[in-house]
Amino acid sequence: MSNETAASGGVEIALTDRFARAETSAGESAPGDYLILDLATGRYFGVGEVGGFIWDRLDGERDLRAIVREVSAHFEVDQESASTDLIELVSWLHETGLATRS
Amino acid sequence: MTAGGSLHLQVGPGLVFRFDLPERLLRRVERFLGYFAGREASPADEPVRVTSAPPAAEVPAGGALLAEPPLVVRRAGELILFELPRVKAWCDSAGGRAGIILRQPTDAELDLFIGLALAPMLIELAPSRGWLGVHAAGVAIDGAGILLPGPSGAGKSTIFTQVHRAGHGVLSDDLVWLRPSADGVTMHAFPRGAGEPMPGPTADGVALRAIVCPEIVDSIDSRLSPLAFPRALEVLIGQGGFLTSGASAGDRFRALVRVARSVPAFRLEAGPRRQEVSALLADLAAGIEQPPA
Repeated sequence: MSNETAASGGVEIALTDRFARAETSAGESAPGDYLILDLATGRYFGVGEVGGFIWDRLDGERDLRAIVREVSAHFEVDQESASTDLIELVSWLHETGLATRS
Repeated sequence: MTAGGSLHLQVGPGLVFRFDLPERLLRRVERFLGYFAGREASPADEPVRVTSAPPAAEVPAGGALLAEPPLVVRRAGELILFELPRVKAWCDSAGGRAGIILRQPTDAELDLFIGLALAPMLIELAPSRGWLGVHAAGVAIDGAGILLPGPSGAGKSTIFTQVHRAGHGVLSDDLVWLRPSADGVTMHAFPRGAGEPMPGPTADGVALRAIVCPEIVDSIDSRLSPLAFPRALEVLIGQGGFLTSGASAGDRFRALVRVARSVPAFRLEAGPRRQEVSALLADLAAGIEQPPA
């Protein structure tokens, strides 16, 4: 997998980047979904099971490339698709303040 | 020095409130929470403390979460503040402690504070002990606890009264305590203060078996229909306190999600023939699958 940099929603994200769940957020699994609460606003969002899988791994220590590999293996999808979906999700989480760059 | 006293109130296993307050405020608290009086507090339960002390640190400025004049509720850092002109209260949800500070309020202002702010304060504090408080009615039919969450005007009190008249068990008509555990969720009564016209609890500590979201409708027939999880959660979260009070709000959110996914949910359209409503709920209770022993 190449060292990929992508721009999504105006945010440049590289697979070597590390992100962590924001302290002002909380997540919980729900039937067929995964919910993330923004403690700053009281609003919550559904990110799906794959999104929840990724969210759980945003610990600030593993880079996005490692998470792509885990997503690919766990959900049996190719790494390119996993990478695209991951960058899109992480970009959105970063924009909404639910994840921070480590 | 203002005369004061101490009051211990045990809501249920693991949730005890200890109030150390001036006498005139303490007596009002005791009257409002009279249902819990006389219960022996377990020495193993660390009480949630409500005193007259100010917060430990300076309170930062915060935005309003709710304004029901003259009451304003604000979030300030990790605290939730409940403010009337001459009564100020703060809640540290994560720490499980609170304070009520009086600035020479009148009796009427104290009564207003108790009526508007005390229950929301306790709901903010309860998660520190693993409990949840929700704006809901609670009934028990043939041992099955049914939670009826909804805003004011949704029909909770109407349905509560009808269920009581039909001879079934009732917990409380406006606020219910929930105690999630590994075995499921237990419902506990949280009746409003003395003098309220609603019937008192005839059931308590019942296993939650269904969530029913009521709605008063104009159509003749009452109807019960399945409610999808996202909508049931939305209703429950809307009635479960403020989700913006720091770390404990995350715990509360997760607990509410678990409650919502633990039992089936329904929408109840309650028509003018109120006796149909209790019959629908009785049919529901009879048909709910019991968890394996």
